[in-house]
Amino acid sequence: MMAILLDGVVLGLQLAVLGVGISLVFGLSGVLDLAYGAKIVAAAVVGSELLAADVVPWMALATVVVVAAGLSLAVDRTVLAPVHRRVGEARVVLSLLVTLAVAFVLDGIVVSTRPLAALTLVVGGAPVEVLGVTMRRGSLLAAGVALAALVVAFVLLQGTRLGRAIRCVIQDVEGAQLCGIEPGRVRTVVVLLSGVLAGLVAITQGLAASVGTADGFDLTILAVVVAVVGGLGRVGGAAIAGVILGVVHALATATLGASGTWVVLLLAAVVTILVRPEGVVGPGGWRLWRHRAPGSAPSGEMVP
Amino acid sequence: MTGPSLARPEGLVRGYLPVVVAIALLAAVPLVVGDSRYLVSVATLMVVLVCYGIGFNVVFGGTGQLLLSIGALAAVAAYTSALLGGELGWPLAVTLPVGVLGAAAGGAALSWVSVRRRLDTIFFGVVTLTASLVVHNLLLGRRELTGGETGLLVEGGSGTALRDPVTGYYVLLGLLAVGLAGHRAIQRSALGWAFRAIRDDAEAAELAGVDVARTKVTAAALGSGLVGAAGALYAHVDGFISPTTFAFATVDVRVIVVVVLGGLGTLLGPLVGAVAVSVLDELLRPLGQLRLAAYGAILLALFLGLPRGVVPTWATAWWRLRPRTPRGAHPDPAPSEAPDRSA
Amino acid sequence: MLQVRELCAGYGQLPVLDRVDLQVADGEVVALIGANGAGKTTLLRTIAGLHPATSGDVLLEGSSLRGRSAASIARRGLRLVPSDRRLFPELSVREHLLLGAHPHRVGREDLRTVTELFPRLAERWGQRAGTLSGGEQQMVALGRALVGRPTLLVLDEPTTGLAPPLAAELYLAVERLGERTGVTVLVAEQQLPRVLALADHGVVLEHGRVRRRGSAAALRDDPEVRRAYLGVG
Repeated sequence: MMAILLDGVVLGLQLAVLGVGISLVFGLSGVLDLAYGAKIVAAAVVGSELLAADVVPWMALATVVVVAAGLSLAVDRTVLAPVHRRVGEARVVLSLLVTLAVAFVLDGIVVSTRPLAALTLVVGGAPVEVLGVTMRRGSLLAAGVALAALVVAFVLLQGTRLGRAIRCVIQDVEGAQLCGIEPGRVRTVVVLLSGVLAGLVAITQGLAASVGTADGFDLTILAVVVAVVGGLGRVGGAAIAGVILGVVHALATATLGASGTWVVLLLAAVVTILVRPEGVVGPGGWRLWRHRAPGSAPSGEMVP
Repeated sequence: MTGPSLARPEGLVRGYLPVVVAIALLAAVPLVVGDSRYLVSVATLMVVLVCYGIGFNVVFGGTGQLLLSIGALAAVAAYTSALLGGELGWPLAVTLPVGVLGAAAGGAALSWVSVRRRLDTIFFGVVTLTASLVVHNLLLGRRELTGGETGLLVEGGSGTALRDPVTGYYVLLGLLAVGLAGHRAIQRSALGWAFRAIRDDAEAAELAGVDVARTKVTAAALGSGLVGAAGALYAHVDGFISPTTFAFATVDVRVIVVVVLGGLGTLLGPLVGAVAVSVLDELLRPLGQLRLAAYGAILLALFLGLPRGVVPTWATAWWRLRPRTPRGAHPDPAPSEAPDRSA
Repeated sequence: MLQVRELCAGYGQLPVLDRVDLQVADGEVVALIGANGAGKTTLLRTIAGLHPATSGDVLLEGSSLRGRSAASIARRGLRLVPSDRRLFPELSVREHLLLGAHPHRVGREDLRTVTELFPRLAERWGQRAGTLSGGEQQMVALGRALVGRPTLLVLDEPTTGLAPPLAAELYLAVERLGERTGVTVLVAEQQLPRVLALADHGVVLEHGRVRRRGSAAALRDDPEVRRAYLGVG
């Protein structure tokens, strides 16, 4: 039982990073990035190519993060620019379709050029005993990286002026402008942050298991499920939901098998939407996305 | 185009002319490619895709519900009718309608739940997407029943004319004719007016007396029914189905491309889109896996360049170019159909 | 300080402001008067950069604001406190005030100025803005604008939804503020008596056009103004 729990927490921390990454961007601009998983995979493949070419590991990994961040920014500035000019429902629909198309492009390129690539990071050393359970060093390192990423993200968002500015833009774009905060600049920072987190997911997944070219869609779905259960746009909620769902995943895999686990996770998302759309985690976490009154635009609306 | 149609004979002919022309053109296809089994099967798949597209178009283009469960709904109908025929030995005449009803009920249920819970587009999209994935996983998991990944041989219709490629094509074309005519009829009716009202502004529509909830669920039921019919018929024409046949990546993704390319909410959009996609599919086949990337690139170019799709863009162009006639009853709805309201 | 020249603005095809001219001199308090729909909010939002002008210009201390983003206008010292306040529900009072001088740090003296003007805010220091009462929210909104030492404070119907004693308290604060810091104020109001008591001069806006302008005293005595906006005579 303890083994399952620990496995669940290790996975959960990674899911938390995944959820935070996608939730941040959604909270800011109402864009649900269906290409999130594809970016992770693309960055991972670049990493695996570099490692295969005998590049120093820490440089290869740093490149993974940079590639993910760069991709995120590039997509946001080019293809998503028209999306940001729209408002309300039109923006939501267009963003879903555009990010889906980006996912095709990235996935297609990756699968056709390097179909067998996978980022697998092997960490040397004997397994470690934690709370009576033998754990691979890779898994522990993955959990550690994920935890560190979450802590840094939270310190940034809660404790710094930049973080405060980000939270402002997320909660009320106009109010932020009236305080002298440029939403465009904040958006750049958030997109980069989300990209960095994506790169870190590639790394942690590579440490704990491996990231292959077929994993893009699955990663995106996982990210969406975590974000939904945590409350779309609620970054704090996404983090907590990630950990919870990680444990659920571990429990389900042990009892129901692979496809049963997927069904459980997906149903968790559906049930959340139907029963408590603001997220399973209590109202104590920050509500970055105001569930809007019918007819009004989402709070992520940008004045052109 | 206002309210229930006072169908004058000319109005009827002019109104359905596009449908007739389209079906006539498609009916001629086997005459051209009838010799090649392969091409006939490609054409059949294309017709199925158009049916899916019309269904999606009615639901999303008509009432703005992002129904990402097209493949799943087709699978529900196909597997239900196949299994009822195979396991219980029921005749086609029974299993097919049951399958269609199952799909219609599924779509209506999804819509009803979202209307009751006041789900917005994203949530509805997520719910339908997860429903689609759940169905997919169930089909894979319940191996004893569905054959899992290896698929299912469909007994119904085997040994009959249905399995002849050309006949099968015409049967599905018949369904397409029903679908097109049906969509046309809706467009010209009070229901179609309600669709347009909802698409423009759901609240205003509500205030104007449109029962938004009922309209949405009706649209979902009709669209899903057509999708189910196409899926179930195809299963019996082809004789073999597997979860991949109806997977999100196989069906829904294509349908989105088709409908967006052709023009959301328009009558002939799915047809134009499906022809384009099928042709592209064949042309891009040598690219192998890069095909997916090519689709993505095309979609992006479309969304950003021609956001309303081919048909409305051409319709607008034609509208501007041709001389104004006194009673210009334009066959395609006016170019204000697209969801993009900032244009 | 502020010069509005022939400003026109609208929403799509609908024109709202028609060649509005307005001057606010250093240290003055100018009242913008008009009924609902007269265009007061549109005018203030256009000045603050939240809404594009179709023609005309706005000059702040001599330099044109046209084409500048709302955030850059705010950073130049023009602070709008909109009628719907636009607070951040999840941020505390303290965080709101710390934001006011973005991207600079907020000095201790500036914080003290605000808490002296609005002592109630000190009591609610760590509370989330979403949980405050209407009057307290208005104080936070005002405090947030003040903390950045604005050169021009623009207030859009600051007493909306406030009970009379609170409204009086607010205006008292604005008055004391004016005396203390000499900040220039442009305030739109429907509540005539109060704002005219505070203002140096005023402008009456009707259907997007300036109908009347004059000193506060002159407007107060103007029979048409009295009839239309004071319900007197």
